[in-house]
Amino acid sequence: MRLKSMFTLLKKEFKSTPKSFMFIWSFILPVAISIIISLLMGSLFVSIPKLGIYAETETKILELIKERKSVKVREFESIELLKSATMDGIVDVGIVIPEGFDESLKTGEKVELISFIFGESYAKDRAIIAVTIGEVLRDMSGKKRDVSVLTELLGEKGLPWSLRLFPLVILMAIFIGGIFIPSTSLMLEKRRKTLDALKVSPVTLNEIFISKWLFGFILSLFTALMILVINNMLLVNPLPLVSLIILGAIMATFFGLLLGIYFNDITTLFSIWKSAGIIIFFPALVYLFPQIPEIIAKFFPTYYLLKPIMDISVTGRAENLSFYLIVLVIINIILYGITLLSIKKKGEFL
Amino acid sequence: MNLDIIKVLTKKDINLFFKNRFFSLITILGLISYMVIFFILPKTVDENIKLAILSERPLTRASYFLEEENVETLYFNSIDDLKKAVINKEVSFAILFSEDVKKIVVFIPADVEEEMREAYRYIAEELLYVELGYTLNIESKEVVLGEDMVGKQIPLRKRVVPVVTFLLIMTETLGLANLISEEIEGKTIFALLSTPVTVSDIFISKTLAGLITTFIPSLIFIIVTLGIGKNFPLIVFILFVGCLFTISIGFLIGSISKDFMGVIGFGGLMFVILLFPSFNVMSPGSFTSWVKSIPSHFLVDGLHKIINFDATFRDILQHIFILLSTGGILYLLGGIFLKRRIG
Repeated sequence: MRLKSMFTLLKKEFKSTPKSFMFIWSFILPVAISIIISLLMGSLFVSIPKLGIYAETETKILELIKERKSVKVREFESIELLKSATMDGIVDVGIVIPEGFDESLKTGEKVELISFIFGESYAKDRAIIAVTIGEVLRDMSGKKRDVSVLTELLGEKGLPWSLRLFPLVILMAIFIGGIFIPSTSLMLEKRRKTLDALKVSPVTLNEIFISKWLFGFILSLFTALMILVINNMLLVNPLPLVSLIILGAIMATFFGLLLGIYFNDITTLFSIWKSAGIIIFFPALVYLFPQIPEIIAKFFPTYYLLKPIMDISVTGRAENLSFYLIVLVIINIILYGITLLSIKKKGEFL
Repeated sequence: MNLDIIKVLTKKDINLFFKNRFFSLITILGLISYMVIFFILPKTVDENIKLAILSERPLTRASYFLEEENVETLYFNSIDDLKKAVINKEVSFAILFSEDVKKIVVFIPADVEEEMREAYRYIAEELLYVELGYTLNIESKEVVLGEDMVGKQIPLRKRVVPVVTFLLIMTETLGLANLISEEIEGKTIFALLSTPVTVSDIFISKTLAGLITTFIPSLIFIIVTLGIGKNFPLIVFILFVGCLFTISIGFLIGSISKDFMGVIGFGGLMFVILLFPSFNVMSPGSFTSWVKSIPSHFLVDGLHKIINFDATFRDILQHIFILLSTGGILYLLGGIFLKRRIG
């Protein structure tokens, strides 16, 4: 095995792959999904009522209500814009602050507020907006009485939605690139017969496979690290996290090579991905739906990757980290053996 | 134009479509899984806050306030039961009033997000103020824009129908695009054109094959999920127009794609862009009005209005016009690219 020819092959992979659709799938898709999920967290899973405000005059209400977390506030420049946004459901409720509002509130004069309500907005959102406005107005009027309100939290603190979805995203990041890049690269070489050309050149079969494996591994590792950075998790406990990601990327690329060796067309690969993808993603479902018993997930290899990653992400440290690392190393050694055997058995026929 | 030739070509295309394991698998699997998803989703909308109260003294003003704000209230006699109701998620949160009704303890489930905790706290506080008679001198004039849906909200199950129907149509369209691109890539189109088959025969047969593969699965989905109601003819009509529109997209993708990967690449991109308007149906207000400039809005929104708001033909006339005209332009573009590629 010569390093020079291997790097030439790797360079070729780096040059040709970013132009292919698979690269978009493997790298841009997980990153885009991760960003979308983090953006949607505030709106899709945590439904925070949206309040629109148009103020005819300078008012303190805007500043004060923006400090409250129970509503999302958006300011509008005219009644028409406020009405149109309410009509489209961009805000649940839109209020118009009349002139002299702050003074009237302080003097106790009667204040008239016009509010537009989006017909499809939920009763609970309307109620939350109403009480939040009430709370702010009491604050502004200086008539906040000294009442005693204590809050007590009951039950177990579950995982927030952003963390529940994280396992799915991190597995996608590791496995889409790790599986699709080496497998499709091999399939395309077989289809275009370029592998035959390479075989008659000085490069060996092993060098071809290693360069493909290496490219998949680098992409898988890089995408997963990007996901950790986007989710502010890389610095939580970097060394164990990076070690786990490396072992996961190795596992993914071995899977990818095996698929590339045994199958010839990309449509079959997609069919396998759709049906057998559950083997990879099932452990992520346990986090998504805590009702699924964790013991089932232990039968899937990715569990031993996901469990310590999640433990570190939530608590900052993983219990029995060495156990999970050993299991992953064993899985990778087995996959390495299978891949070597497969190359020996099928390599010459590729 | 030869009808017999078109018939043979259409049959050939449908056979080819189902020979592609990827597209036949996602057609069947997709249809089944979408139906399963529909039946799993909740039938009703839980739009009210459920509140548990324990107060030794009967609440007078607060009860009126709760009714006005559509807060469902359950009264308890013991703290243990009150706490149990919170832990078991029977209620959103609970309030324990002191004997003199001047102090309260708010019990909130620990897994509730911070924003909602604050909201529940404000409700409890407001309730206390109202009960103590500390009201603000404010008169609110409320104007409900659109139909007031409180008490009759559209369940998620019914909201997903237009979105899933669109997804089904779009997925099948990629299959059609693949057929066209394979025809060019495999040079079979040239073989066909050396026979009495004309470009328009190929064009019409592909449209028919596309209609069969997009219209039938989406119609099956509609019938299984919604049944045949009074809006059914209008749904079928907009579905037909929608299929024509998406087939035109398939034509364009197929004409510009070099191979299967190109179809998935261009198609995937198109898919994502065309999917944006669906978010507004699922969760109104997700995007501002720019989303209406994406033509698929008129298919998803049209279906949504018919299914969930009993819209009439007149209400969706503009939707039909835009879908047909955009489809026409895309057909034309697809035709131009196809002609350029086959010389």
